[in-house]
Amino acid sequence: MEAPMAFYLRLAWRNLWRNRRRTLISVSGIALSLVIVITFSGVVHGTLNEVITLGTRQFTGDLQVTAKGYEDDPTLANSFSADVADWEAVFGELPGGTVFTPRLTSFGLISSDDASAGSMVVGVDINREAEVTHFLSALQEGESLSAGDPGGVLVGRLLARNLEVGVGDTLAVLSQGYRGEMAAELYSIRGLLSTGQAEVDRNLVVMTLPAAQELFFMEGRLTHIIARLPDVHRATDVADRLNAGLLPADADLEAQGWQTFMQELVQMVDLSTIRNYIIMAFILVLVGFEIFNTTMMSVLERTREFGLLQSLGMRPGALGSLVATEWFLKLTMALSLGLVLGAGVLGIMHQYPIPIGGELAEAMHGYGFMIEAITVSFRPIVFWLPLAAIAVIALPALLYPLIRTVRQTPMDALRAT
Amino acid sequence: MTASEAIVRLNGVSKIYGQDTRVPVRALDDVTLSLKKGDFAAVAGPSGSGKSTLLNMIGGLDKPTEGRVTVAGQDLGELSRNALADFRLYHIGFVFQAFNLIPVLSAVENAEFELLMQGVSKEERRERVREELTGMGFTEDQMHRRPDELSGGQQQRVAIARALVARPDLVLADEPTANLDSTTGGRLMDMMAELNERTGITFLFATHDPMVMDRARRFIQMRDGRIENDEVRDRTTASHA
Repeated sequence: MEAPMAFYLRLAWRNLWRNRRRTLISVSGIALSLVIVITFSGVVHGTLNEVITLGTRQFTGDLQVTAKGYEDDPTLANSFSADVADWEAVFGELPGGTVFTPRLTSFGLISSDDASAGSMVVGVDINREAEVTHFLSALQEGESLSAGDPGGVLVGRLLARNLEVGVGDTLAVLSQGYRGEMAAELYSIRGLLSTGQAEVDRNLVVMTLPAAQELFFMEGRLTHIIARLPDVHRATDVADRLNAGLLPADADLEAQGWQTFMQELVQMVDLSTIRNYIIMAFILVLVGFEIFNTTMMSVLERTREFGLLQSLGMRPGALGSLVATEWFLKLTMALSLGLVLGAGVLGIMHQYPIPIGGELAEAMHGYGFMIEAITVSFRPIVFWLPLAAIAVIALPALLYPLIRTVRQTPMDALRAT
Repeated sequence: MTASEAIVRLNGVSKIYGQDTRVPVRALDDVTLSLKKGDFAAVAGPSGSGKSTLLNMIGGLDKPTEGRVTVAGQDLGELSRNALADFRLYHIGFVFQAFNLIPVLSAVENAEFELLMQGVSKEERRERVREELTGMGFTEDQMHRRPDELSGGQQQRVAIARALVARPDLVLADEPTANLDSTTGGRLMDMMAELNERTGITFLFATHDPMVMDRARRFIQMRDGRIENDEVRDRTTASHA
């Protein structure tokens, strides 16, 4: 007959507190480790989140819909006919907060009076684009485009410098139309864009979508639907969902998350994640030793008592349950405390962000990431991963003391000094 | 089981420690012994004579190298570890020389420990334990004290109460008076003798204490792992305080 669970709980609880100082040190040690891991994880995820968000929402969007084959052959031949109202219905099927904008992107020769340069020419829906990406707001000089301005363009700051033009000057755009026609038009520069990303600033001419469609003889056609999602990390899932049947059946289209079309960003995120895991693993090994050490100590110092319990008729398995219950209670206390404190630290860091200054800020600005302060993330992974990792590392730390206790005969235990 | 039936039988029991070492120790050497229900017996002998080993064999805490131990009709050599634990729970009451009690439990909780393991209801547990502890002179306040708040004699009484409330067939007491002054030790022995008379529970003591030897109604002398002398006394020969 086994004793009731409530009795084991009571006995285990009291055993925990028979050496109050050791239990407090052990619990606070594990809790502190969890706080460190949660804080570290929160900062890393927060920063990565910021980098990803800035990276995708600067220009490319979190998700893109293009004609199949556009990725390998980004020409107007791989465009598609689209009615914005139809896309409202498509994106209406996705989680609330998803917004999209149509685009027409091509390439052309941009000429001023003194110079020429190859550049990307992008036609955007001025109102929608601002909801999805930020690059239109990176206006360094001049004024933004208005939706009803077919003759105006915004030009990247470096492109303007290379062409030796400024606000108010005229540019000629020469390209090829959708069916091979000569596409040529003059545009007036309304403003200069400085996104912080040199490649974009050197290679960007922006006009309204109707102006671009007219230039390239592509009325009613697009090359991209660009979307911004409520959770940038779900881009692949959303793309899969769109590809699974939400996209219009009459067009040969595909949706891709930023993870597909921004490989450099993915690599950077992966590298940071691996670095995060290595540091976390190092902390976890220390936590594992701490748990092993205190569990082993509490078992060793009570060996004779375990012999007494066995001589009174407690089965070895029940004795093991007692040790495991003590471990579980201690771990639960430590993890609960660590979780609350960890969330508290992240809350404080969120409330009072630590500003990024000096060389780090300059380095980040150089990459186009206008991060002013350390941002923290409250994504579930920030909490459950460290929690699960400590719980998992605690298991082998329990194993040896547990096996030793269960295997020990009452005689060996009673003889222990 | 009648009073004349053997509750404990040891047939040719030997225990050799460190068999694989260069100096094996023969703690028990071909011991054959039986105890009847209601015996109040003491095993005496110098240190290393095998007293404690004998008690451990009978209590199922240790297994013989050779021979057979049968207690309450069960061949202990055939029992698994779990079955041995259950056997101890239902048939044996242990009283050790020291460290008898679980430090984090009160006197009442210690005394009811085995009943709880047996699955006895809370009401019955408390009733039996209170009756036993009150009979042993514990006040309500003392019953709720933890071991470190009790004297050595009180701790031993709690251990005896724990052994008795579970209504075992046999109480094995290893040097139960060793850490007590003679007055307390004497009272404890009187109490156990009275319980033996009243309940018919068999008692077997391992002891160095002449007072315990005097009060036992059966006196077993051991030397070098063998029984040197086994003397049954009548009630008038065994002294009482």
